[in-house]
Amino acid sequence: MKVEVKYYAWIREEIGEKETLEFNEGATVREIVKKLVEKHTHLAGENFLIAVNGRTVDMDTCLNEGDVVSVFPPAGGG
Amino acid sequence: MIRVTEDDFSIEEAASILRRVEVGAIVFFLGVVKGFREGEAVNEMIVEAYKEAAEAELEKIRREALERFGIIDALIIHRVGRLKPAENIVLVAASAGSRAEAFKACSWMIDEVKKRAPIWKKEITAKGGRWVKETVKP
Repeated sequence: MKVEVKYYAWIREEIGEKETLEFNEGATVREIVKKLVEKHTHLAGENFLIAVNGRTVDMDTCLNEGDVVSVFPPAGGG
Repeated sequence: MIRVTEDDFSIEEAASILRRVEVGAIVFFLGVVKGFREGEAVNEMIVEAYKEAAEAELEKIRREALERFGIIDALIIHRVGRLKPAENIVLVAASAGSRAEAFKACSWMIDEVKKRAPIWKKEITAKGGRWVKETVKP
């Protein structure tokens, strides 16, 4: 299945605004994080958060075709 | 009221939203762009947000403040885009029957915004840009 992955802040500067990645049907957020770190090695050891379709999710959440995954650093505004 | 916007905001307009007959105090926190960090001039600040998630988180913080402190109303406005030193970044306000609750709620809300809202700041100096890793301090 195809999943769109969007990046924010310093992660966007390193990787780009977004990309479409292919995962097995029913892949979990944990598997997606693993693949992202393998593909973008500078993410390894960094603290980042994941949201699916605008909502923060736990690592065991399964993804569906067409979901939008957002990858972003911890809060830094205010 | 919650807003994540490129536009500047007016404290008077915010006060008029919160001003009601039962309100005895409105406390504001106004965050502005600091023109120096660690002795180096900051020429510009770029504020970026994951807008949908940031708005949802700000609304959650506002609702939690209403319950936790028993205040009458609250608002949070956060700007995004390219900002110059001394320009407004964020406005947090709490209205209550008396000032004690309003002060506590306002202080708590800005700390939570810094900890929880997916919003990031990049300072542009003569040497280049650097993302601010925020820590909550007064």
